[in-house]
Amino acid sequence: MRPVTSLAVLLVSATALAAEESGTPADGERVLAAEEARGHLAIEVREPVAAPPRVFSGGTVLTAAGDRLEPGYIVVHEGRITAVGEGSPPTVEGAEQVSLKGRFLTPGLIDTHSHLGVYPSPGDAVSHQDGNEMTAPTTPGVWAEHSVWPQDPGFEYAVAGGITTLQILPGSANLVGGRGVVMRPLPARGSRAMRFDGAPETVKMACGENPIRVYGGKKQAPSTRMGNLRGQRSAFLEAENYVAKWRQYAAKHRAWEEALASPKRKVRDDAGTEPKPPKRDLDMETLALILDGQVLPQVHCYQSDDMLSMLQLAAEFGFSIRSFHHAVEAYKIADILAEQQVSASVWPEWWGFKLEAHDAVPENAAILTAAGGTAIIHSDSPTTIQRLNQEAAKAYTSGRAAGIELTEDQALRWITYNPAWALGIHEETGSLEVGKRADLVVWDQHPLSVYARAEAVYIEGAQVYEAGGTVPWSDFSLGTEVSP
Amino acid sequence: MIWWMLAAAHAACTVISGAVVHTPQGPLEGRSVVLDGDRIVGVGLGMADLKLQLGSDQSVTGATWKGAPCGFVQGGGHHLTPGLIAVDSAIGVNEIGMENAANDADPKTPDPVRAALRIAEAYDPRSPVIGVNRIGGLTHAVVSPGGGFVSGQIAVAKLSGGSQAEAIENASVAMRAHIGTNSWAEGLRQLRELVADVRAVAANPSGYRSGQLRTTYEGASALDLEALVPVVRGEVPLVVSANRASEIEALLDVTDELGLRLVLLGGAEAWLLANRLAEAKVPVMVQSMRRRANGFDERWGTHENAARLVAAGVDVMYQASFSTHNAHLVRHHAGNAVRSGVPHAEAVRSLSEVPAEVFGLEGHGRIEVGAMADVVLWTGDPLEVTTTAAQVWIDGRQLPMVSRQTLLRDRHMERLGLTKE
Repeated sequence: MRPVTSLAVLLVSATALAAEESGTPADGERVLAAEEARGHLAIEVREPVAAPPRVFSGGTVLTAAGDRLEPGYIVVHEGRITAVGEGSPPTVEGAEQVSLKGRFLTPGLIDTHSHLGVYPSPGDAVSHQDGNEMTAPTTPGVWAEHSVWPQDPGFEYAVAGGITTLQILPGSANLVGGRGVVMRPLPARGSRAMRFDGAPETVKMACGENPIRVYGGKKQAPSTRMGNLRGQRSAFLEAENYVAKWRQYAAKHRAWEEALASPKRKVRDDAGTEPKPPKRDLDMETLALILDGQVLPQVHCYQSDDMLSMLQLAAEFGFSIRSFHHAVEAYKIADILAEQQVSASVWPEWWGFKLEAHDAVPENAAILTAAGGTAIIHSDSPTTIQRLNQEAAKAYTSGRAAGIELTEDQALRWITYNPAWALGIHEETGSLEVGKRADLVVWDQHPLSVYARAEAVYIEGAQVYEAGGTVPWSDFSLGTEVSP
Repeated sequence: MIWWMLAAAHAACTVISGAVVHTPQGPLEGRSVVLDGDRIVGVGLGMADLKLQLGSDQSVTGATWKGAPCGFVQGGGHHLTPGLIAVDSAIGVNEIGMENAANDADPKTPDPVRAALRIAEAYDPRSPVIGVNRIGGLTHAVVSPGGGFVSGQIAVAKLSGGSQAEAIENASVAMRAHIGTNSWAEGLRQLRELVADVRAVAANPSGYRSGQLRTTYEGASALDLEALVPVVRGEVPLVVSANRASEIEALLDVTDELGLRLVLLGGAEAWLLANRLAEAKVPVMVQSMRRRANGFDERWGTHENAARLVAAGVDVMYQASFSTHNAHLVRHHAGNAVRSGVPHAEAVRSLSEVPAEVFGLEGHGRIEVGAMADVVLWTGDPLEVTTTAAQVWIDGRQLPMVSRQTLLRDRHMERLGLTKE
């Protein structure tokens, strides 16, 4: 990959330098990174839920970090895991004791591919079809966050299935469909308060049949796979020009500030007016941040040849794809995906609904894992997100039946650590390790079973779900528990 | 594989020994089943009944049934069920959903009433969708046409390939209808009108043929009206999808009034009418994984829907989310229903016995003496996500556990150097 100077770093350092040297607030505040930050102001703030220290012990702890601790324990304090081990837990003063007797503890499950909130339930609500901005094939400037309806009952059903983090993506109508958002399935009045605190920005891109079907059907570009690539390459070329303009601006601004600060009067007098920043463009801004590695690309792609085209695009413009989504033919290029360190978010066995989904095999995740790649089981469904553990179990079973050696820890990683990696939050969540956020699920039996139920779910140490609760979070669901 | 088979070279019979056998009376542990020709001839036999032959290492090398040597399958720790029957699928008629040239499930004609359409005539016994489902444990599929108001005649296909004639067990087991996509009341009005026309035509066919009798429902041809005669007589069931309890209630009223035999599809809120459905003997095909609010008509849906229906005595079947390409996953829907309160044995019945009864597939769906030898040996609990089908028999034939997907898998695993010696 060719080296790319970090745009944000470049611009911010110009600002810092100017501020340092001139001692005045530089106009460098109007650099790209700062402009981006303006879109992230929070109006509704999520209050941290006060929770006592907790000690979970006496059952099986599956860490998704290589260990099955039996009996195992973990200690949680101030939202973080402070101890993990086997045998008797340490004494923690004032801690609430949670018995895992006969139960299983795992990290909270993570789904890299959901449209909850942007295509919410009820699915037939025409007023809430907010997931695809199908007015142009390239819309990097839209944010899924702005479409998420927090009252979607699907969020609380997801938590009941053990989900603690999910990526909400725009649909796949567009070549670049817009920003995704990494969220917590928590009750909130607006989507901003559901954001996973500190998660990187993500973007949805798509290849193959869908953009062709949507735009080709309207006699617009793209109407072919080659049209798809032209659309994406053109967009990134434009983004390179956009980056160049901001670089020029930053350089001119720095020169101007240096001139103003010059001890020579003539230089100060000739400094001229302050250089004006380029016109801000939201679409270009997202693409520029992809080029800069700050926005993690999540690419909808089914066929191996299409995935290879997208890897070529990424190489041409010097960015890294973080995860291919659906990737039903990932197994055909498992060696390349492993070598390129690109993960694949796959279903266990969906296939046949269109030609690019014709060559699916249920061993897809297992083969990619065996080849040394990063496999993820995703849902893309308001129904299967409620049982992602079963989805992983099916893929695990298919792999083992085909003679592929897999551990239950690897299968668990498909729905915990690996998706955390794809979303750039693997140092914060996705496994039971000291220092990580306490995102936990207590299961009544082994989670790789059709009969397993999440009994309790914790996000950052706060209990967010308990089996048997009857009052829905969603305003929309109020009243539906009452049978006439 | 932890089980093995010693296929006696020319044995017509097969002994499957030691499995948990799921019979209509419940599971039998550690007993044997004998298949002979295309029938099940022995159920619940002990080792002594089968004159086992032991090798030098005391392993079983053969068995005899009525003096004849049989193939022998050690099913220890495994489960044996009747072949699973998919309901409301398009197996054999929809190969690739979005490719018109590879999807014959819905003719997409403007014709609203296509009662004379027999989906069996579109059934392709060589579709790759069949093998994928067969190695997943399905031996039969109820194949439905799609689209229109009356979509056409539902068939039952046997998933063992052959010719169309060999595969189709029955070309007309039920009629499929779609009611009230825009207005439930208007849909039921149209149903009443259509039924009245069919009755009039049935009473005076020559009058209709000669043009003296006019019908009121527009869009039904003479053949379509004739094809509906067994439906209005209550001889052939009408399969209708409805989810909202109030719509199911009205549908029950109207089908009762018209004397139609109803099979309900969907039924997300059916539990609210569980007793009435049981009393009316209306079977329901549910999607057990769905919950409230998938649609406006499912807001009172619950994972406990199936459990409440079964408890009330309703015949429940499960519909897979992808009821064509992955129809075999129906067993996991049954497993999820057990997770939400359905007794395990009832859930197993729902996968074979109940659909065989509802769709008149006589001699199928049960492991009992005299029944067709359509059975599946599972590596464990058939409803579990960690279980796979180890072997499938249809008509007593042990079928290769190969599909287009296993061929793809093997080719690419070999290329990647992942194939075990």
